[in-house]
Amino acid sequence: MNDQKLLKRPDSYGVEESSFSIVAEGAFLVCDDSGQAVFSGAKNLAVLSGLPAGSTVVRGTLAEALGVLDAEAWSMLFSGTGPEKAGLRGDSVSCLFPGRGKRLIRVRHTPVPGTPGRRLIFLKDETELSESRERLARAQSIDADASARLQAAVLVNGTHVDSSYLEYACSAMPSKLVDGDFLDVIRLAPDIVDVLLGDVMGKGMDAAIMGAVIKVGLFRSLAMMTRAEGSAPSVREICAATERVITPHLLDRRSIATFSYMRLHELTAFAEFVDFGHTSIVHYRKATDSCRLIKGADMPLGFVEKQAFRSFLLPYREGDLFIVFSDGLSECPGHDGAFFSEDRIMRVARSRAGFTAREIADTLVRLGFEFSEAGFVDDVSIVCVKALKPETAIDELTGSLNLLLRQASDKASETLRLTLARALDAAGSVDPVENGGLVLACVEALSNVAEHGLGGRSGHCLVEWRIRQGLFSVEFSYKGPDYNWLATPVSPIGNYARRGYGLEIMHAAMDSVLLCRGFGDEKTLVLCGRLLCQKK
Amino acid sequence: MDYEMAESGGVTVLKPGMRTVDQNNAPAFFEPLRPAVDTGGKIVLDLSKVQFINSAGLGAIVGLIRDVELKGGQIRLCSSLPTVKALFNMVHMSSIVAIDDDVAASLSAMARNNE
Repeated sequence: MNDQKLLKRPDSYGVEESSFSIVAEGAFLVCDDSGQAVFSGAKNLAVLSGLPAGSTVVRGTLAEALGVLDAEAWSMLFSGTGPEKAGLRGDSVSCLFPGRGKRLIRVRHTPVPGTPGRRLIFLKDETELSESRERLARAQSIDADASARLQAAVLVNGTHVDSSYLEYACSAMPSKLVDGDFLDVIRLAPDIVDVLLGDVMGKGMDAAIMGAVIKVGLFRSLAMMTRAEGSAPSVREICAATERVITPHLLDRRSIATFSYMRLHELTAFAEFVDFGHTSIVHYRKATDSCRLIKGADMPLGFVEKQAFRSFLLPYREGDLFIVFSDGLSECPGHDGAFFSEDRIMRVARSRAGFTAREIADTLVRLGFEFSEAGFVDDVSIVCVKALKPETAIDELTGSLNLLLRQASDKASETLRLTLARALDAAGSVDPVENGGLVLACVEALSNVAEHGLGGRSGHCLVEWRIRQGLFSVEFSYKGPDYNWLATPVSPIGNYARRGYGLEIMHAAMDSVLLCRGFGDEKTLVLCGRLLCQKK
Repeated sequence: MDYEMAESGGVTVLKPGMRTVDQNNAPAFFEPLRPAVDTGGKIVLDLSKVQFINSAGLGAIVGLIRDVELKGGQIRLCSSLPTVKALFNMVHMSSIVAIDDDVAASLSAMARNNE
């Protein structure tokens, strides 16, 4: 075989000889169907294999010219018949080039259109790429191992907190590359338990270190705010101090962190939380056997230097569950690409509500892992809290109304107004101005449910109220479309507006206005206000 | 419509008799005052019998205040009931209209303003 013969290609190849060149550090050849006889591209092969420039003849078979170390694997690469040979095929083979030693060559080949028995082959030396990948994998393995140890030692090991009102469990499972998840459960005063859970953007040691920076910064902030025994800084104070300490680090590293800080007040049985762009918290309510997603209104830490974040209040009862989790669980992809989802977490919470917090947390990790098939893509961190029956009964006033709302819901409003006024009076709330404001806010909430919440239809609204340890809460459960209850109202009075005062009244009279979403179009609007003047 | 209306020193005093002002009665609430509004008169709205005003009722009162000012008139409100005061405080009502504890205080203030 000589080179002149090699270069005499059939016209039906449809490509110019100049195309058979070194392209993207690879070489094109044309050979026979079995990958043995070379018809074109010998120069390219010479360049690839490190032969002296000008070598234009392939001596022996292509496998021999390449120095293929596993002849059987080479044959397999070109074996098969019919459809098997019709498409693009390929694999990597080890070769021993005379001038360059052992190399890993990526071989891809496809039939030459219109020319039976000919295949166009593309050869690429991937030795350096392969070695780089191995070095990267080793480095990542070391990084992941160190990150995992840092995470286990510092980030996701909550301190133990004894409580006769609450039972809790933490579960954490790092992903292959480890994210910056962090969590903790701490007691800062006799009747409060604080749960924190966050997630730093990114993976590996960088994210783990940033998680540690945040957790250390948070505890440093707490230490700086230490007060007399029995007193703890408020959730807002803690979050403000944490933001002050942490945000410069995040901005400097161009990183962000999502973060949920939830305080559980054991005696008043309400949760207070700030949500810096974290995933929702699942709240299972035993009384109604229902679940809802709790979501705050603020951005992740590191988006801006300072934000006017908002804290929210939410009552809970014996048997209720709170599940705080990272998006590694809710956004864990299954085999079809669908996420594990908040809906699935709510279903698990409802179906396992009778189990312990530890069993529920472990079940969620196990189900998530099974769902993921290939393992968690992101870290999974969970804190599950269950409200226990208190050893001593705590006085509270509760009640509920199931109201049928129509567009003009005057009768329902009047019923609610009188009921709540009587309840506040019975609870010893003695300031008529405060009571008037609270009742008016609730009536406005009901009017807004009728006008906006139900989507223009008639419907039922379950109103549940509770007065306990100076906290007045009213929950409006209904089904309807989304409505922005959290919109910060701009006072319309300066414009002499004739409508639009409802939201302003709600936000002005109440300490917290929160909308929770449940399954489908289930919604619960939760209003909470602290009674400042309550008779003992 | 349940109300009492009186004249005192060139000031029209309207005292609605209903206990609540809401979306049902708000539109008709101020009809008796229409002549005084249209002529740019002086008005005192005595809310001493009103125990509850919702956002729709509030909107109607704000609309009345606007109409009075556009016609060049004057208006003051009076109420000492805590529930009504709570509402006025929440929406900063005093930023657009004077609020007194009773009619006598409103009339006295109007007389002083016109001296």
